[in-house]
Amino acid sequence: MHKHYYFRLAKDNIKKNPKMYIPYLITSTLTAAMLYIILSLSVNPDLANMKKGSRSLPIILNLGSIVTMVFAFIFLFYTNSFIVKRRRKEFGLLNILGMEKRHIAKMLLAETGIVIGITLTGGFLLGIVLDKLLFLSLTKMIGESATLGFHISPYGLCVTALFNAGTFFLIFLNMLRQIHLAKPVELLSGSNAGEKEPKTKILMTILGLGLIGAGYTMSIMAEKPLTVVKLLFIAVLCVILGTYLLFTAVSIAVCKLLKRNKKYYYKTNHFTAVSGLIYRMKRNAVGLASVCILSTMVLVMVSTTSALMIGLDDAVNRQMKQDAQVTALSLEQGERFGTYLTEHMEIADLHRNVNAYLNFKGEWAHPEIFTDEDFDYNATYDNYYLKPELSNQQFTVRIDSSEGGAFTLADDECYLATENPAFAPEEITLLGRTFRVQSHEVLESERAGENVRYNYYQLIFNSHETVVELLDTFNKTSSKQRQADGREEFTFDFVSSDKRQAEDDLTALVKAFPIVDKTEALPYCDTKLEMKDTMLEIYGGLFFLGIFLGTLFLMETVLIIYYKQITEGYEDQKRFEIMQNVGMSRSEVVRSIRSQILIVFFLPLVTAGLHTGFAFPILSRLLKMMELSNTMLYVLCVVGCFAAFAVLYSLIYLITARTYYKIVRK
Amino acid sequence: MAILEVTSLKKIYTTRFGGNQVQALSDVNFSVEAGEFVAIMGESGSGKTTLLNILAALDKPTAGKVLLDGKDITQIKEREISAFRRDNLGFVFQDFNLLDTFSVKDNIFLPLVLLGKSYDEMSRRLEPIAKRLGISDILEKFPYEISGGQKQRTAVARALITDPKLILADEPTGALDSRSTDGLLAIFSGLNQLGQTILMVTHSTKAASCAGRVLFIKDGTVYHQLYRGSCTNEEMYQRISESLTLLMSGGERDA
Repeated sequence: MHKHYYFRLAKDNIKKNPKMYIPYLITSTLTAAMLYIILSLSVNPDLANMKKGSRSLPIILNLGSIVTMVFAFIFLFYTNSFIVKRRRKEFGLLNILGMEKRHIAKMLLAETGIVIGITLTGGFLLGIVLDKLLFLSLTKMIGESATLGFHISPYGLCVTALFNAGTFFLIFLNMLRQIHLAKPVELLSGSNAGEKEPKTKILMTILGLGLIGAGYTMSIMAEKPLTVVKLLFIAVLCVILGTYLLFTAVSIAVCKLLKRNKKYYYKTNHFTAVSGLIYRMKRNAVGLASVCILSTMVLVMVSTTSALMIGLDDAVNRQMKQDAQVTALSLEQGERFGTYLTEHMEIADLHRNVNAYLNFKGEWAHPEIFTDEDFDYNATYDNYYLKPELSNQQFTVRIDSSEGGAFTLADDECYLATENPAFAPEEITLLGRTFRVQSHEVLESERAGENVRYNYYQLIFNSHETVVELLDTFNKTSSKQRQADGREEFTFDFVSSDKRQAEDDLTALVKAFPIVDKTEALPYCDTKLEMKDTMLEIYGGLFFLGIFLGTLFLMETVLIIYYKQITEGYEDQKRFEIMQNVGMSRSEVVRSIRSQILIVFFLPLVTAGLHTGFAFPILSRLLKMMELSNTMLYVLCVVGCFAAFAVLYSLIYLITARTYYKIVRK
Repeated sequence: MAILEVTSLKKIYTTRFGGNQVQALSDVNFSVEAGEFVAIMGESGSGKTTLLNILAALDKPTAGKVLLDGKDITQIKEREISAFRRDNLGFVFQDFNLLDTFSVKDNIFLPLVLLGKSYDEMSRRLEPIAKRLGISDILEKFPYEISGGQKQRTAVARALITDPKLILADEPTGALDSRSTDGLLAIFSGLNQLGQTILMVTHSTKAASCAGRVLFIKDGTVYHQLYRGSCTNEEMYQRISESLTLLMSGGERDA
């Protein structure tokens, strides 16, 4: 009997608060559905059994499910705090009317039970239905044919159920904590207590501006590939922290500055707006900063992954100009494989490239590269010796042949690439042979600019013979050190128009390559299709995750904006009335409040746009590293995503604003 | 010269579906001379608040005229009403109606800012008013930092700063303790002596006894009125009490 009573009370409470509870339940249900889907996808056997043996996809999806859980947890807690704030008065009243706190606790427990029940039932139903749909779109994205068939993941169901039950139970405990701490009278008066005007926090203001400035500068300045990856992470952290400070401290500092300017402040249009904004910003800073950061995440994620997806073919073509590449692991194996390949497969446009890495301890002197102490270096040594303390350094010289390649070199010419911009000799002597440096390139280096001598050199010569001869000399003269062996790369096109089949044939052919003894390793082969598959799997997975998390974040953004509108509405009700009593016309009040609300809700969007804009330099460089060189494409993706997002955001605002005006006009 | 003339004022509220009609004011007639201090008394539901709302141009009567300085406020166009109220009326409310986001000074400045006055002029106007009301020291404070009496004096300053023809006060002492009430009533009497016209709606016999004239409203009409004549506040208090007793016991009207 008693149990039924609490249950009915709880049911009524939820029913009577549709403004607060319906959006909450919708979000928790959708979140549960999304969590189930991503969990189920991450262990989907069909996905794991795909032709290419998917490896990166489960990892990406797993990561995605963790991110989903973290954010779902934060958001459920956050949205619940809005509800609790609004219900404080109700709890106080029940308490005064004779309900003990433990009775309220029982009632809340029943409510939590109902919420969990609705969330899981709805979430599972929706999740199972949408699971297949998302599975199909994911397989389409990564270019696999999907197997049909229905699939319910017990793992997904269990984890989702546990996660939701756990989260809601913690939320319940948190509500209890708040009720227990408060006295009934405090609960009753709720938020009526006067609010102090926020103070300007100079230190936080400077720090906030500094952090955002630093993040932006990093994005613009980071040019070296390795710096990009390192700085990106730091820049993101700076900007996130900076954004919180921007909304909490900087916004208030700006308002206060405006307020201090009496000519500006005491104008009909500015007077109520500026003073109102100070309080609005104080109350909403954290929520707005979260909306801003989430929006930026959505924008960055969707725009970069979509650019990667669209630019995929281009990227594959840049990385691999021909259909296939087989690398023989020694020069001797290369000889045998060359014959084997041409005998067993029809191929076109074959290129053979010989290269070797020479690793040695040695000393460097202009214009000669010496190997080893037992190497016969000449008498002018002292004159050229630059850094005595660098003796016995580890050197790596890659020698490479370029027959029919990108360079036209004479027999005694070479192409030189170093990390050291100062090292630009006209001639270079290596292992007793002297070459004229026809062309010189400075490789991008993490360490450039530091006063270090660089030990990596790449030399390209015009023929196999030169490379083989240098390798021989090296192996003879530097016997005390590691011997080096060359490799031979075969790059070619398939003749057959069925590239998939040709790829399989090649794999089989390489597997069947007759080896001389058991220790010999097989040559390895890469094909363009395989590369494309791998990239498509990663990029497609990321794109899917981008859209998936984007949807989740967007949903949370909607909810935060909605609840903000409601709380603002209740806060403004009284203010609205007073302003009218004092002699502002209704339209003046509406105009004043609307301008404040517009600023408050569109500040995150504008800031997110700014963040995305400043993230552009570093991200476009990152994408270049991932072989997406088409900057224009990325620009279009960013602009397109922002435009779509802005439209969506405005729609959300307009729809939720109606709730606000309904409350205010009561 | 009458600054406010109310003739045959009638207000009928109709419930939403047109079913029940409630007559809040049936036939109200009275006038207020310039420089008068008039109190309006009546029980809950007698129509006091409806009358005040109509005088404040917050509500339209069903029939009748309200002339403020010769101008019929019931005929003013909707979009001009706010400006009219700002220019001609000052308001003092029971619950102060101060904006908690403004300092005391900014609350007082609000109507002037709406009128587009410069900061210098606003400060010039504020100085004597603040001094007279004894709030010069708390101008930079916020409403949550000051007492009820100080809040109400701030509200009075806000009403005075536009130099209105008429101050409308709705239960101004309703939320104040007795000391603050005395203070506020002294301020009202002082303002009245300087020539300010005040119309005050109140429940409190004490507040009404400071007025020059008391109107009693019952069942939507002016039922009775008392002139101070040469009475002291105490004698006035006595007479108002007697009238109220009469009013409640449902005696004959004698005005």
